[in-house]
Amino acid sequence: MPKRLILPGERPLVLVVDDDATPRRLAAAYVAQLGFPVLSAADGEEALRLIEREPVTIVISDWNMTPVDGLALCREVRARDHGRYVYLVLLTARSGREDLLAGMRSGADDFLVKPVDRERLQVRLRAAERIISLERGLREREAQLDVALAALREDLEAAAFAQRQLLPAPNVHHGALTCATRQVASSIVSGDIVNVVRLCPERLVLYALDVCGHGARAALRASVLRHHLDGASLRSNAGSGSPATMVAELNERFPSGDDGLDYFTMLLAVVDAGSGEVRFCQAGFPPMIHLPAGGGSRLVGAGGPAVGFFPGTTFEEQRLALADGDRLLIASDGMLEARSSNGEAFGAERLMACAERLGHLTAEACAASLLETLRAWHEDDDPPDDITLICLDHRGDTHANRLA
Amino acid sequence: MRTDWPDAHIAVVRFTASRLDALEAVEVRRELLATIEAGAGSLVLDMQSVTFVDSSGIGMLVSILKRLGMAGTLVLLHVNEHVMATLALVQLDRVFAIAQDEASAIGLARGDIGP
Repeated sequence: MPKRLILPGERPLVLVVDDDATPRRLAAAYVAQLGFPVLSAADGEEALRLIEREPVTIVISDWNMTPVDGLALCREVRARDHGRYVYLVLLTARSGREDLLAGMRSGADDFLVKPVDRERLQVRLRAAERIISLERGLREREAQLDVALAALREDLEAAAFAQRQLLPAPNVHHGALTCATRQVASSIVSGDIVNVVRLCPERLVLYALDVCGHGARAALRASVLRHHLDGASLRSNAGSGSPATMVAELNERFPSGDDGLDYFTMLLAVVDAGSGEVRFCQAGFPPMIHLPAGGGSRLVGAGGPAVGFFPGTTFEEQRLALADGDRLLIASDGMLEARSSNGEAFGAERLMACAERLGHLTAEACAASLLETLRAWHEDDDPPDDITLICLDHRGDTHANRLA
Repeated sequence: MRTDWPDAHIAVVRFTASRLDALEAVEVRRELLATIEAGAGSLVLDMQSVTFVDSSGIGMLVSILKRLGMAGTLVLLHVNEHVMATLALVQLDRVFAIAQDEASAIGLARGDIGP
């Protein structure tokens, strides 16, 4: 449907409809004298064609016409979307209550008694002009909001693109270690961050961090935290490689604001690339899942406080020895809390059972398969919370063979 | 939410929502701050209706605890098992006072501000 743009300040275009030529010409002449641009139509059908083609916003129509009468014209105009409001005035010699109600039910805005009186016409046109101007203002604001919303969304998409470029390689090899990471954002940008850093030839650092909430606020905070972690934290702790010290520093450096919504949970692990020893700090993050080479699985991690709540909090280091062929999974609560359509959480037990069946796959294939299972579980492309998954393999022999 | 005042300095706030999530937390926080403004030095939050608390809900509870300061106590009453596990994951079960019945909840709240 062609839509003519109506310029602000322009006077509304009036259409006079009457199958009787004399009153039609008289009404059109009055309208023109009052300073409005005017068109005429000799019946309802012609009127509808003109309303489609021209930016008519006020219609002054006779009631009794054939085959399309004034009431039918009103109904037809209301049934179509013209991209603008069309103000409808019915001309009538009728003044009965039932007639007026029928006119209003058909969509008429106002009535004018025949024969048309110039002063009454002027008053009706002024009222119409006010309504049209209000409606035009609303439409303009709506269009501005659409533009603003699209710009915001574009900004977020750009931020998400930048954020994805910060993701570690999906598969990182370091010594005897292979580390696969996956991340899924719930609302374009993610409040989860994940990284795998080769701290030195002997050590691999990996962390998963989940900022409270999700969306832009959480994502910006996550990006700031990542910047700090990869820079200052790792530089100043490269020697000791103490995960608890790094987390404690973050706790002092990034306290949560007054509304309590900027705290975060994280799991930071420093892994010895040769021996497979894992030193980790679990700060409010769910326990890890250890899958020994011999089969089975168990939860690892005694828990710990979240980061940013209280200054002076003590964070503890925990340890785990990965034997050759062992696998370690780190999953954010977005994964564990993902719910099926009947409200059941995916949960750690299900994740363990799934992972146990994937022992024959590479770390990368295992992570991909687990996310596939999760997607089928929540039956939705957008998870309700950000999801991070790390799959770490300690495969000394196979790696050594590949290098040889 | 309904609020009872066992005495002038202790408010028992009864949640009615089943989820204490990002949507709910903003409104709940506003009401709890207003309750503190109205003179509550310690708060008992009756969580009977609450079956789920997300990270924003947790953050909100901690912000209220901080707002009460050293002199006040935040007591959680009737915490369901799942919510308890969520609190335990971030070790807040060691930070909030937790009570199984209203009389002991009010006792805990009174203990910290009484003479």
